Amino acid sequence: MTPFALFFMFTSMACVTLLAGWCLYRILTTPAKPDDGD
Amino acid sequence: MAGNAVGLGNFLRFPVQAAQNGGGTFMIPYFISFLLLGIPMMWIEWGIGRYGGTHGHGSVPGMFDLLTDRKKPWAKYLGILGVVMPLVVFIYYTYVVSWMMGFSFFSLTGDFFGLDNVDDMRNYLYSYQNIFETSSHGGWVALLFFLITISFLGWVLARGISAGIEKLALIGMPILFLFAFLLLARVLTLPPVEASPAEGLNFIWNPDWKSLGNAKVWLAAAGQMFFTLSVGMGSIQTYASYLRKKDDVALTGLSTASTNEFAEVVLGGTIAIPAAVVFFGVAGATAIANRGSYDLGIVAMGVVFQGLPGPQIMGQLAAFLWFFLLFIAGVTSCVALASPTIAFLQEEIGLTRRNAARSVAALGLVLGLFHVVFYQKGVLDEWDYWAGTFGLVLFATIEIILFSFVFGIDRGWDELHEGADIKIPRIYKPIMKWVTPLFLITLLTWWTVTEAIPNVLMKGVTEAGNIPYLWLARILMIALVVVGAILIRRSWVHKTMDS
Repeated sequence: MTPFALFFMFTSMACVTLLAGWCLYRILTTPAKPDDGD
Repeated sequence: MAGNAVGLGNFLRFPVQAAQNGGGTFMIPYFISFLLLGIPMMWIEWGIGRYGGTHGHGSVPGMFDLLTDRKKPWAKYLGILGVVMPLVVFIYYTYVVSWMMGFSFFSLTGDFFGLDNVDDMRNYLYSYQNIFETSSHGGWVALLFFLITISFLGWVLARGISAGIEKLALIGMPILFLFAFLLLARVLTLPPVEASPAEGLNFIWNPDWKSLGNAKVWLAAAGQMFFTLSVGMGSIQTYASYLRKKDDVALTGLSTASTNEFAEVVLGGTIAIPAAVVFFGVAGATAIANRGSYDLGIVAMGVVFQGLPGPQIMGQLAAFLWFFLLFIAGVTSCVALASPTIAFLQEEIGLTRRNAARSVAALGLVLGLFHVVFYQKGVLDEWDYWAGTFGLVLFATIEIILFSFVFGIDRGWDELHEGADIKIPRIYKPIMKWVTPLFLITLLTWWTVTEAIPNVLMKGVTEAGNIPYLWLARILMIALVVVGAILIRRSWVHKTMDS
């Protein structure tokens, strides 16, 4: 693989993985909103 | 929601689009489309969906009516696209998904093992798809798998959101990801045949900078972004309509998009293309991809699995992992595609959930048989173009204009932040108001001139005998739109009389 392709691949995969992982982390650590019957 | 988004687009369509548009050259416009089209549209559709749901509307006609504060009668008729298009895609997609069930079965039985070249494998697939071509399969085979698939979908849909759709996703998605990772590991550790896996990855990720000036590449990237995220369909809005006013849409929308991109970029791009490059070389893999998604995903991969090192059973197992992964990906998307019509029939027409689901399944059965019988006439590709490709961009353009300019970006922005668990970066406000609409209008105009008009005039049709069938396919789609418009009118007249 060319150095640029390697760099581009790892950066892209890292970005999407980090974004998905960060979203999952936020979902798991955000308290559920109370159900006030609306 | 990830089940909705992650589908055949990630594992079949994405690799083909990337290969047809120069591999690495495609990835740059792809990521730009993600930031300027995919993410903003995802947020907008989630926002519109929740807003509609809190006002008693689970489908787009009512939602578009709301965006105009019920002051513009025409808006709900434009919204019919958000019911008919996903229904049309549901119908033909079910047939495609049934092929994946069929090929999962053939993998377990080893039926196609021995057809270890693309020509034989392609004939095997064509004999399956064309029920009148019985060299490898009787006509009843494709019909049987279609009937099983539509029955299964009808059963899931009738069970409702939590007992049906959510349960399917909770079971199916982990299996899908597990199978994808196993295949990824198998592909990346393949010994070279025509090329190495690294050369396959290089093909996907090394851009030809000159080709970035080619508008076709940018348009293909934007189109893929729509299809893969399921935006421009109406299904996201329906799912979002089940949210309460204080439920978040910002984090949820971003999560759906990012999960889909993970499945696409990390998994989807790293299985089929590198496997095809290993066995056929870069030129061979490109030639296969140029023939379309099914050539890469079924024909080429069918040959790849037969060439895997080790005993045949390992090849059969890997083939089963691939085709069953595609089946799960497709079936979870199918239930999402059926949901807007079900919601529309329930809320605007007054059917019970069960009867609405049965109606959609019945429609899927009858019109699906049209595709089973006439596939070789090009009718499925015709529906796929108008509802599954061009239609998405048309609908999204209408939708963003309504959201940003009629409802108003200030109100829209506030609506997106109701109950939000994250703050959307401020730069997205001008992006949603100006950049995304401009991108969409440019895309729509370009596609209308270079593709839609020639397609309407049947310029690309090579078999003249197919033309009457293609016209019939179009008439059926238009008939669904007309029926939808009539139902909307009757429903709204009824509502006015009641109030």
